[in-house]
Amino acid sequence: MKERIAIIDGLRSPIAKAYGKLKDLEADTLGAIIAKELVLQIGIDYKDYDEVIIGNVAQPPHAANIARVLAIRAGFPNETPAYTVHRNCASGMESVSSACAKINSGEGNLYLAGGVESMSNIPILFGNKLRDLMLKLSQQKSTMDKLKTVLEFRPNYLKPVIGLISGLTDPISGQIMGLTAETLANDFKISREEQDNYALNSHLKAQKATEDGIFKNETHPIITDHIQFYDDDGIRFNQTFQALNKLRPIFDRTAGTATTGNSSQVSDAASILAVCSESHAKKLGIKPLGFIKDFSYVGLEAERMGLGPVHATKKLFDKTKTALKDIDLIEINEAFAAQVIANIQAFESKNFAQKHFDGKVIGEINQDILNVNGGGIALGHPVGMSGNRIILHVLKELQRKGLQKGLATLCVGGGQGAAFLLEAE
Amino acid sequence: METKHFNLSKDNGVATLCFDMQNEKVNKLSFDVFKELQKLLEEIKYDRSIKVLFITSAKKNIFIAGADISEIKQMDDMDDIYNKLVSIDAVLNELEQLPYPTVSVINGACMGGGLEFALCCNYRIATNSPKTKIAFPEVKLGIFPGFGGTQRAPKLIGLINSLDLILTGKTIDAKKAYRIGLVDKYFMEGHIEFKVKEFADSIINKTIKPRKMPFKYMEYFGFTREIIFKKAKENLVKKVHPSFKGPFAALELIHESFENSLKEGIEKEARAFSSLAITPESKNLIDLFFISEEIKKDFKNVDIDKKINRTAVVGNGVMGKGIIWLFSKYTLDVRIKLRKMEQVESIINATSKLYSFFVKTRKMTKKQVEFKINKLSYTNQFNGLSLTDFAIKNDYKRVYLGSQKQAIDFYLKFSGVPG
Repeated sequence: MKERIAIIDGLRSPIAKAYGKLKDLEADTLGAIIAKELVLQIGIDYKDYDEVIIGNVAQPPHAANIARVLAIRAGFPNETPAYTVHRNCASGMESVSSACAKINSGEGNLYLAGGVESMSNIPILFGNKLRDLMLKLSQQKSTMDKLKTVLEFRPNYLKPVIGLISGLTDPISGQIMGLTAETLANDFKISREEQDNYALNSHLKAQKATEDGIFKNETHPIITDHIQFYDDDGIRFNQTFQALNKLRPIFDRTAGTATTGNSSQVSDAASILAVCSESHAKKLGIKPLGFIKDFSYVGLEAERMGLGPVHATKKLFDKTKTALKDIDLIEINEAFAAQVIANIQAFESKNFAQKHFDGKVIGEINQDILNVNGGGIALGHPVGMSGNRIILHVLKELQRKGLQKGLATLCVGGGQGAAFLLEAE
Repeated sequence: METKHFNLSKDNGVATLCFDMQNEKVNKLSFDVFKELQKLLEEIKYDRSIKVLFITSAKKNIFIAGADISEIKQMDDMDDIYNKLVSIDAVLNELEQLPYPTVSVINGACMGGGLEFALCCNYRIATNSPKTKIAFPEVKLGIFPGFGGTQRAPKLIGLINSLDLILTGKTIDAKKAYRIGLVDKYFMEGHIEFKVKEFADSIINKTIKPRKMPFKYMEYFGFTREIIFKKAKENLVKKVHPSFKGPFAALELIHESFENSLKEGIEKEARAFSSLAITPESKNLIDLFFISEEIKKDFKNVDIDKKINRTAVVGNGVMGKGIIWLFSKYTLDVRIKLRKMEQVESIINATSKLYSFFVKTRKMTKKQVEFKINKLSYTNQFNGLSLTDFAIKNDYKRVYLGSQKQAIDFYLKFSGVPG
């Protein structure tokens, strides 16, 4: 990248379990509350932002180009353009990297880049048979024809298509995301116990972070006329291994190992960052929260999409001549416990390196610096938002602990990976 | 003929009578206007070159604002009022009896007497511009429509629809007017020129089809009609204080005259109107109307040199909610600073409740209210205020005002307790 990109500041909503506290709030309104608060807290006038870029996976039907609706709701003037980006789970990162690219190509100076998701509001759909029937009905002129058409109706036309499940099913491999995790659990010989232990740790770390008020640095409560929501509610306090181990596998009921306990949760949340070039931040006289040194995206086979982080990190490290030992903090988004563990193994595996990276092993991940405050398993994984959140969280943690370099990486449904190299100073 | 208030033009059989009241911003139906109209009608009545007559307005956003209320206010003799009404009714009757089709082109407010005027035409066409508002607001002045409105409206749009308009004084838009059959066509303001031409062609070529409105069974039979009147009365008693005699008298009049011929009905209307217009209640309501008009005028004269865009309200309380609502309606942003976040929900809730009136009366859509509520942001610290250009801190003893970026200093100085 030509120049480092400064992240002036960022803010996120607490993450709510889907169909819970934030179920009545559509993603555009949820995101607007955070965007407005961030703009006001930073104190740079709305009109100085060149564009609003928002990542979103579900793309709610009521708000085509959700970024524009969000921007206007947040108080941006009509003159500020806005567009929505979609790179599945990396949508919240894609908005940031799009802004980086625009800044580096000289198209603008200051961007608002976010990720929002309301998985509660992913619609339940009817199949094409009902669509065809309704279409036919509307085309009939006489009452008799209309009646005849109505009689063609069969009860199974009402069988709903759950939007959430189709959304989480990979259209390329046809596998639901959980099955790709099972594939990795098989490839890397990851036991059920190992996965449950990982999940337990995620909860315990998140619990501690909540108790210490660490997330307060990055969240703003969501309050509307009938909602008050202050803290992430996916974390199960005082979680035990036994409780996790009791759960039945959900994706493959007999041979599977991925359960609701060791998979990420379905959630609602928004996260927004304000980004500009390093030189522009200097010009404005702002001390930014941190910087983006560079980023990378990779593609891989859809059935093993969970390995996105290792591939993306390799590409990023090669590009920036960074070594794993330089990194002080790592966030690998927790889609599934098996998937994170597979990445940890792949980072240090000679076999894996032989197969994919000409024998160059990336290195052994120090687990004390990995997902230090828990991840998607405990907090939840609102798909379009998580990428943005882990960038924000790495930077906030680097700042809080006085560290320098961080890595935020995630796997992307459909077979992709994304990685961001972040710096505090 | 010399005219002051009307301009007549003719083009290939299409005559246009443009109402442009002299020395006034709006068109009003004054005695002078009627006098001129009478002469004009006399002159064009036998003009065989006219195939169709359009009546338009030269005033912006106004078709006819109504009768000249100041004239009504001055009159306090029952017989005098009655005689004046009879003469006005005669003019309107002339208009109705013209030998060629007539069309009112309603682009802008068409209120009270203006609507009664339009009812005397064979057709009414309207634009759906937001400025096109149609109503019988007379009951708000303690009277009711006195130029034949109580007679012609039921015959055109039916009993239920006309009671709904006359007794409540509510305003409807062109779309609603079309739905109830009050206007024959509506279109976009920008299309007015060619739509009027199209309408003229369809009249001249006799291709125009009368609108089919659903048959009103409830109004057709005498005993079901009685139920309608009874219900209307019950609603009035529930909602209107008995000292507001206008709607009660209107209901009684319509009830009594429903089966009368137009001529008899208009005669009854004039009698009932003249006895109502001299009551002190009506005079006072008219006074009130003029006072509120004055206030509106004053408001327009205030020069705002710097527009307030981003506001903040510190503290809450009964008054806080009202102020927050007001700011959210008219400015870009309202930042609410409270001591505890827990107080926010009830504030936002109260603010959206204040908006629900606008949704109920269809002055705003739910979506518009949503966007207004989106302007609120909340905090329990003194942060996010640097963009604020007007701030107000209220406790129940004092109200402090501040402006132009001094908001924060101001708060810190006066609030005493930070956080």
